[in-house]
Amino acid sequence: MTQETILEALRQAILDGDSEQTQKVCGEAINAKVETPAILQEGMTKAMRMVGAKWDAKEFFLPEVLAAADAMKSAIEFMKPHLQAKDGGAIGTAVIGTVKGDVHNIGKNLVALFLELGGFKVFNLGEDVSAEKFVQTAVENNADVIGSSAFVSTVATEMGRIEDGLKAAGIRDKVFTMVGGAVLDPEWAVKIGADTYGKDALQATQLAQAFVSKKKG
Amino acid sequence: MKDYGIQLTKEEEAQVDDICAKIRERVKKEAITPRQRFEAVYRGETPDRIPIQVCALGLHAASNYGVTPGDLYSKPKVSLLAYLTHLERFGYDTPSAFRFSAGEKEFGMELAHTEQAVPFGIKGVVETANDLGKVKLPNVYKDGTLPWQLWMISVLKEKLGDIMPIHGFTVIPGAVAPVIMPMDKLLLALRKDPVLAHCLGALLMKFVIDYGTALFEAGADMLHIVGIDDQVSYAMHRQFEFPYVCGLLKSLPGPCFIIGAGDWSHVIESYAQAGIHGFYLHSGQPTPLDKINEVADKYNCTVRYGVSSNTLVHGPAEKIREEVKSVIKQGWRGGRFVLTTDTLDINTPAENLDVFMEAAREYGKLPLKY
Repeated sequence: MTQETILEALRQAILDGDSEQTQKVCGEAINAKVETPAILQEGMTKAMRMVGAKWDAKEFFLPEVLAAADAMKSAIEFMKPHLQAKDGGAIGTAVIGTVKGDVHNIGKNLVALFLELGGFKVFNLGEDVSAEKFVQTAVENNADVIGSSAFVSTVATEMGRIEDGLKAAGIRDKVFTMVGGAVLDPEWAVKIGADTYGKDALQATQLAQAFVSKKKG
Repeated sequence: MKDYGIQLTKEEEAQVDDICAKIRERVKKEAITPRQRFEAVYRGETPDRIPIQVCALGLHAASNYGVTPGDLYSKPKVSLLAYLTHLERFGYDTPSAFRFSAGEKEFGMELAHTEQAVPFGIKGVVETANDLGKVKLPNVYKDGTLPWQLWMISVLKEKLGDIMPIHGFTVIPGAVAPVIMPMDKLLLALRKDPVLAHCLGALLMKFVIDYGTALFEAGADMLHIVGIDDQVSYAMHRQFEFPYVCGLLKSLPGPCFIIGAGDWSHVIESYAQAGIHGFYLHSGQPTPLDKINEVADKYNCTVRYGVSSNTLVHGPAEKIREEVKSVIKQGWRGGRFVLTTDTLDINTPAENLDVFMEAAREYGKLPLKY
């Protein structure tokens, strides 16, 4: 099989949400001496971009995206030893969580996965997370990015408290803040003083990568 | 009144009667009762003004009453008084529907609580098909918090049912399933293990029919039902949701509205085909309102749509008034429209809700003059 055939098979396995097949193809890629960056970029990352495109086009809904994410997790797991050997380390640090009062986690976990795949060290704080916890984790780990999620509008005001906390800690300018969730929009990000609104996991990751790239020159 | 295991003391009953008397005084000043207003709108007629429904689910009703949201989830009498007090204070047209849980406790799900003491499930009893035998369906009249809503509805029906419609709150099988199996696993099962997904659906049908029937028996005029709206494709909706929604609606003795938040353009007509009586939309939801109105008109469904909780938290007054006007202009089609709010944020200033109510009464006068 050619490198492109293997990578195509990997992308298809991820799109199919077939974890077993995904790991199998990853193994075939390693055996065929496909370079790790190619597996990562042309196989896994490209597959998730395709998932994002299918989501935008309403060809994929949550079950399909979750299945693809599941396959992606299995690929990351399989590739970890190879990534550590080849890669110089994370491009940045991201802190992510669902804000206090809200326990929805599917979208937030997808963003965490995409960020990890996008090269970030991710501190996923889980659900019902206070603004103080976001800020404390960011300070302790010198975070570049904070992503906060809310599925219900009644708790989204907590996101504004993260902005206040970062200012009080004197690190607001050093951290890129993103908000997301089904009930939010770009206007909400502006209103509370966040840097951006991410409409989905792929866009959030691209925005975070762009910020880190600019920050680190 | 059926015995749901909760009794008001004489003092508590006097409190309830006192609040209800004030509500009745206010209602008397208007041309028709809220019940007549809602019924006219449901028939596609034009009453004196557009009915106003406020969603005070938990947080705002609690803060207005001076208790924590957790109190509302654990003390049904406090809940009743908090909701009635909120209704009396702000003067909308029907008590807010309220659920104490979606059945987390009753189905044996491991619970945690937010800092505001609101319960949420963290681990269901089903991980795979092998666990289905562990599911014990609750008795809707006796188990956990399920009888609390029945009791509240029965009290509201007795005290205000002649002048206001009383709404119940429940879920379709697909939306109650996450109390048995975590949502992400459930969604994955739709794709990877359809037999398990259907087993869960079939298992839960009895529960949702029993509970819906009990809500109507308790006095609900209509149920609000939480669907799974935008989370699945049309094909999956038709396979895993539509048959159960049809079964549920055909089994219940009264009308039901479906509640949705996301973009459900692709399934909205399917819900109407299933026999749903109306759509309860969150503001800012991405489904084009024109599309919803078109389906609603085709199937004689009512649309509930309104002002966002963000606007109500932050105002200013002029923006609230403008949003009320704009929503009414979009929504009123000569009947079958109810003006609502999203679930109120705990930080909504009372004066902003007053502005909303004033604007809703002013701009909602029928026939519209703008």
